[in-house]
Amino acid sequence: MNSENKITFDPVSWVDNFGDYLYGFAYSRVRNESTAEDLVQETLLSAIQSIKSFREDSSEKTWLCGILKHKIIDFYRKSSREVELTTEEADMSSYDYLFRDEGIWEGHWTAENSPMVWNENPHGILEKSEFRNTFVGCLMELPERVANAFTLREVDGYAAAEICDFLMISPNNYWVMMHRARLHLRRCIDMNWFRREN
Amino acid sequence: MTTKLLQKFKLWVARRTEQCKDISPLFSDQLERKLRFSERIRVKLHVWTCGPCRRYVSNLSFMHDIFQTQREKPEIDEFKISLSFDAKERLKRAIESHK
Repeated sequence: MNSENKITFDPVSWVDNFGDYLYGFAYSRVRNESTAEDLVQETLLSAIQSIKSFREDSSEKTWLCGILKHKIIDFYRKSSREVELTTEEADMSSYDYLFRDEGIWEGHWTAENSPMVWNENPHGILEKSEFRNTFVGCLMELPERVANAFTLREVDGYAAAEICDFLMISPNNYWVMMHRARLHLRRCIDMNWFRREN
Repeated sequence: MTTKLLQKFKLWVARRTEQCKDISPLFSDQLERKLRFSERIRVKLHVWTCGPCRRYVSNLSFMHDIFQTQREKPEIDEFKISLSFDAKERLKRAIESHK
């Protein structure tokens, strides 16, 4: 019916209406301000080009965010030239200190690094800006591709096979990365959030 | 009395079975793939005897649950950060020259 309905589009207004949302979305996934801004720009420009792909049953915001998601994946692909794990990505020795290195309990958690109960509700914890900052800060300490793998998996809920494809890694390397990310993030959040609060 | 014995038994098993360091990759793997039968047994046995690893596993699911709310309601913007005024002007200019 409304075949010529694109008149309502005012691309410049997207910047004020959705700019911050798209920027926050991108930033939380690439952890770099200028990359995030570039991605928002690419998104808005290709949106102008593909206004025909907008369907009326979705909102402008959802539509723009869908384009941004593709841009983010493209960015991950481009920054993933290496097929195998790099030495930096594969290095687990920096986590040796978490475990005892001698005695009858060798290889078990040291007393100071032993995981403790986290008494907080995980749902809605992201609404606390200090927690978000802590979390992104912890992610930034990981090699970039490891952080990207974790983000794709846990933040965006992609399947393992898709992530392997985006980052050009084998399932084995993917499992190594996820283990590393979890070992690091658990410890980092424990130290910088749960133990600091008390 | 019996709980004390059980504790002692668990310690005895823990000391003779796997190191936390060696089994920890499986705690991540079980969130990613179906473990083999032998791996499942190893995980079950270790977690039964090891309190810290039990808490490690529960911390990992905490880190998974954090994003549940956001994925169910993607329209909620959890990362509330803003573009600077200059950045917005740059974007508007880019759009104007592109139209």
